[in-house]
Amino acid sequence: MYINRSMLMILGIALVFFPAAQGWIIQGPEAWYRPYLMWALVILLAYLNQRWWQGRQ
Amino acid sequence: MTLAGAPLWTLVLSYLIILFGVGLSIERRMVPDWIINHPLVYVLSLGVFSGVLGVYGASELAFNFGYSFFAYYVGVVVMFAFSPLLLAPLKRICTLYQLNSLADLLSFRFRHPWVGTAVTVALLFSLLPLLALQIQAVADSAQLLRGQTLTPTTLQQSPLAIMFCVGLLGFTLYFGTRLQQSNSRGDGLVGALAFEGLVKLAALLCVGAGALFVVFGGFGGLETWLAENPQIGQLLNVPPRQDSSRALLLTFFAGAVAMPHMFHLLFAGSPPRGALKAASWGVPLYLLLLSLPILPITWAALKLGSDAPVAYSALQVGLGTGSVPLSLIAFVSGLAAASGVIIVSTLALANMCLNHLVLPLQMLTRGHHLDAGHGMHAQLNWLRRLLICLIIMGGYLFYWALANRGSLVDLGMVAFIGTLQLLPGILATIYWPGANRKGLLMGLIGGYLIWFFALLLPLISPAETDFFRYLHLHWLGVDDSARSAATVFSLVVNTTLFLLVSLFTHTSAGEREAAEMCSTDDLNRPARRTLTLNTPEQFANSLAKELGADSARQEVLQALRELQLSELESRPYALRQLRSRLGANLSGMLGPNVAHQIIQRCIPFESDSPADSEDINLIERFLDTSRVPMGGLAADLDNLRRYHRDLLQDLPVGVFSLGHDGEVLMWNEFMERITDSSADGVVGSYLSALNPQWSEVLGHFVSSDRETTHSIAVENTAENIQFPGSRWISLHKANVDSSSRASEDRVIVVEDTTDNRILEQELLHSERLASIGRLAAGIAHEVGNPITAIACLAQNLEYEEDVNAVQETAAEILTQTDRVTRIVESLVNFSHVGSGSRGNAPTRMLPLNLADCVDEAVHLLELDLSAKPVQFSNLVDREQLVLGDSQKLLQVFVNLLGNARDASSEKGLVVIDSTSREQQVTCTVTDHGSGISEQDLKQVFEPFFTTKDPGQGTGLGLSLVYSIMEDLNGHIQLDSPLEDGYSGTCVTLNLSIAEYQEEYL
Repeated sequence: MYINRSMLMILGIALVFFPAAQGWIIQGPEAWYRPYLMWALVILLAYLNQRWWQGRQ
Repeated sequence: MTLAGAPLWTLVLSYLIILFGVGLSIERRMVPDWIINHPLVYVLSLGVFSGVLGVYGASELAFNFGYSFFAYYVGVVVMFAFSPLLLAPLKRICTLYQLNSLADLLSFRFRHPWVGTAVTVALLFSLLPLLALQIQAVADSAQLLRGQTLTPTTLQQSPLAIMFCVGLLGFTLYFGTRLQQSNSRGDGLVGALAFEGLVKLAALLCVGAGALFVVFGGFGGLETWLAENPQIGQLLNVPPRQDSSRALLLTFFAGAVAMPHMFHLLFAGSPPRGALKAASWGVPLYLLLLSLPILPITWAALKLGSDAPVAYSALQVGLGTGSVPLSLIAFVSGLAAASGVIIVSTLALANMCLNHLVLPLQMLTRGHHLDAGHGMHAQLNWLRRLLICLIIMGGYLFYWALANRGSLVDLGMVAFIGTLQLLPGILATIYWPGANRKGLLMGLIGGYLIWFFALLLPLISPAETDFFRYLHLHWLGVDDSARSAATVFSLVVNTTLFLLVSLFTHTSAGEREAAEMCSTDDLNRPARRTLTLNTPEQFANSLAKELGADSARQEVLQALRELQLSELESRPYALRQLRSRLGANLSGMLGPNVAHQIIQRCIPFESDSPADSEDINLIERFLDTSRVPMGGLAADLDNLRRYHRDLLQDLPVGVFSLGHDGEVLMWNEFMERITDSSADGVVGSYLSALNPQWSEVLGHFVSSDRETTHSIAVENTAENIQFPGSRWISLHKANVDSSSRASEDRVIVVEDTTDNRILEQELLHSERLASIGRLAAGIAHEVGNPITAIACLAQNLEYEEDVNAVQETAAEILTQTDRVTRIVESLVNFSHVGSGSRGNAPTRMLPLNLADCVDEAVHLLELDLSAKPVQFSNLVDREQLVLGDSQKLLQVFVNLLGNARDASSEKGLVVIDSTSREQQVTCTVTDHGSGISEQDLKQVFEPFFTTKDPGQGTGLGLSLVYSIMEDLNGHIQLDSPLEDGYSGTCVTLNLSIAEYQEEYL
């Protein structure tokens, strides 16, 4: 059975470290915009990933 | 500031009318197709995930959980950003097998109707709080705008909630039951939802802008206010507990796919190509935009101060600032969010209830028959309408019964945690082939019992609220909210039961088969079995018993259209495809279990048909079109497969293979060219589907016991093909033995020997001319004698006066000329053997006298004066007729008798004899010459093999004799020494006339 290992590994790491990462991201009173920056980064990566897959196919 | 009831009623009504208009204009194609099919529409429609909980409830989440409210969005963002892990495989399965709901998917994977029923019931209970939440939000908003406080009394008297439900009921009934297949999303519905998504986003951004610029006076004002109120920052910066963070994340992660409305929009029907890829970043972007105004709105509401619940912060911005437009815009955002969720959830739940509760019950009460009479589609639509009414009514009654006992977040979280219980089943569907239904059902029962007692019951009965919190605190010793504890506990129990029961109980063969079909790299390998029905019409007639005549015919025609097949289709492969497509289409309409039962009953396979053979050609096609990336050993094997496939395809000889049932499994390019039949048309059919010439030749060879046959003539009648006209082919076949299958396939090699045949004929002609050359002296002598005699007689005739003497002389001249004519005729006859066009003229099988043929050969040989004198004894029965080509048989005897003469001693005896038995004539040519050595016997039929001295023979004689005997459907055998032990050679010719006489005559 084929499993996208690299993506699964990233997801696993994200789940394990989510609370820690969340604590770090929202640290500081003025860091309310930091989650949005991380979010935008995820969107960019998802966009690049699907472009890469399209190119490969 | 307060608003009167009438404008709000008007606003709700106007919004629903606009929504209806948008849906209708798309349905009637008043909007260009490129807009309807644009991935953006798909992305916006998926914004339905963010219902009231995302628009209003997000403020409450932020207020309660601080920055952890991002988990609501992050869960969905992760699901879409990592879509290749879960969404893409699920989409593939749902599209392929037409599964339109989670109940369909899980009952398909776990192969039992009870699974579908259990999932449907679980989702019904889980969704009631979500439906109530949407209704409550709209009703509460209206109450707040009218300046009323939210109490149970005002809630239960809210007529707006009823009107809202009735409006949505009308919309859902219209757009939800227009489609015959429940798996079709419907462009109108999707378009309307996309419109809602756009309205919701635009409205919330407007309110956010209002909060920022009207309440705070811009970014500077906001920063100043935050600096002046550090408690606000502290309120948001609540350090998240690890388990609650993960629980929130998992809850919304699961909700993105397990929520019926999301599943319906994601997978049902056929989303535009590339839409899911666009959604992988489009939905996160949409949610990012939607979340941007949440914090400013919440802060603005806190700054303005209000007694209303924090969930309605968006409304407070307008109400607090006295801005009617802002208030109405905020109301519209909630209205759009609520209506979207209710419409799609109701539709999805209605389909689930229909397929997994109503129809199975109906079949149970009717002896496992659907028996829809003449209007299955109409019957299903009426049932669907009834269910839609009941579900919306159920949602309203739940909202009415709750009477404001739960906040928006409470209701939403209960619903989301309910659907979270299905996550283990969804993951196992794709990633765990060992999972079974017992484990799934046990896990669901365990998880849902905890969910019911810990979350749903406290919502209905407030006295029980702290029961589980109490248990949790004492058992686990963790200080957390009851909700978070119940989430983790229910999921742990669910997963543990699922794992343990699946590991320690038997997984059925059906479940394993389904697991393989659901695995991410499955290629959909249907078994190649023989159907009992042979035409689409028979399919329709058989299905009519269950679906009704009209519906059955409609379904068959629809499936044929989708597969681009003709109504007259009879190829087994195509019919199996039709059966699969019908099963998938019915699954989309009736659910996989009911559809499976109907198809099994109405279009069965033959009971003795082996199920161990797979459609090899289908596997090949799927592998070619599959986009599953391969790595490691799989990639190496795939490369090897491609190499071997190309090798077979590009071979300069024709190769095709047949299954045990005679179905063509492979047809290479050479076969396509030589038969002028494309692989697409031949593969999956029987040889009888070929044009008559090829069908007869190949069919006859396949059914015969012979492993090889040479020089068969086939006439290609078609024009403008690579191999026009007559072709000569040699055929070879072998069994393909496989340890994995009980039955054997066969591979047939077709060799085009036309060029060899032409060369052979040219050599034959050369050999004949050489023979004539050798006979030249004898011919001259034989012709010279009568000519001399005629000359003498003519001279005598000049002086003859007696009439009787003249007549006698004339008769003598005629006798001599007859003699010359006979010699010339023999020569002409001999020289014309096989001299048709291109040397490949077909053999003309006619009755002929065997003894006369031998006589003529002897006569020709006697013309050769240089040859040693031998005695030919023709003992062939004078009455014996055989079927053959006289010219070709003449050449056979000339060659055989010539060889016998050369091998014999001077004045030796060559005997030609014949016997007949049943329909066969055996002719022997026996000499008592030097014979042939055992070593040479193996080679005598090979071209250019000769034991004679150089210049004495071409080595082609016996090779040509063999070839001619093949043409005459005869057989030749050489024995040396003779049976009685004497030296010499006996050539035996078998001429079979019985089998082909009637046919060729």
